Amino acid sequence: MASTSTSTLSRKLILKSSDGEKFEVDENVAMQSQTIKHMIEDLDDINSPIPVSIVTGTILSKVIEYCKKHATEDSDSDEQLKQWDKEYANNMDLNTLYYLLLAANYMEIKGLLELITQCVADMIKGKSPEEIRAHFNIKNDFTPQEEANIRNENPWAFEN
Amino acid sequence: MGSGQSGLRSTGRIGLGDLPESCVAVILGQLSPPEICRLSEVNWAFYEASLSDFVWETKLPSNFEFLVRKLFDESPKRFSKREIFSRLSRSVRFDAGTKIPSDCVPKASMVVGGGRGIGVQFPC
Repeated sequence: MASTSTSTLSRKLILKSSDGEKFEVDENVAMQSQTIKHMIEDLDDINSPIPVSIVTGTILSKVIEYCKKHATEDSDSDEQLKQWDKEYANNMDLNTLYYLLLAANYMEIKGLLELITQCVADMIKGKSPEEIRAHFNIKNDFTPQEEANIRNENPWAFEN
Repeated sequence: MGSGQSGLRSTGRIGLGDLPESCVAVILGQLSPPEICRLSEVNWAFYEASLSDFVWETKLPSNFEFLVRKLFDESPKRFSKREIFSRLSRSVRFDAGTKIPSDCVPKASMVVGGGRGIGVQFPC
């Protein structure tokens, strides 16, 4: 995961958020994002800001925090990194988690995408459909008949 | 489902239901089959996402294509991955080669664990 040889030689890149905030980051940090990696390959001028046009500065700063942690020299053990990931995700409110998920999806940062989706999946586990609706504030748009039909499609999943 | 990437332009409140289907499919991929089914009963958007092949692919045994051909005598391409999982979970409770030709898999036995996963054992 971490690059051991490039950090001292790493070039600086400037990422520009949708609301115009600029962030100077090491190239190896930015390269955690496959989307930015592909954008860099097509860039003529490495010094011009790279637009991350659909991610706000607030969210981008959190994305960069994650990428920095995962791009640094491997001073942390896997266990320490997992613990850091857990605390990082636990410190986010639900709304921020959604925006981070959208950002990780758009920027193609696999580790961050997996971390956030796992975090949301953990919130879903063990809850009934009604509890899930209440927790995530989701409206039930089924008619009672549709709901019954869908429930009838699924009994095989609950055998044993 | 959802507002897709345009949702990122604002900083307003968004919900699980506003996420693009690709994100929801990744979340569903991290749940067990009964949990996926429970989520499919939440609303239409989750129901649609729960039908995705991407979600069920990871739940199937690696040789599911072989099993579908042998057990149902049909091409696996005819079914969605969810349907294959459902069929394997429902109907295959067998032991000792009653459905699989003995020259293929002698003493084959399949264990279906209440939708939590499909295990296949071939104690040859």
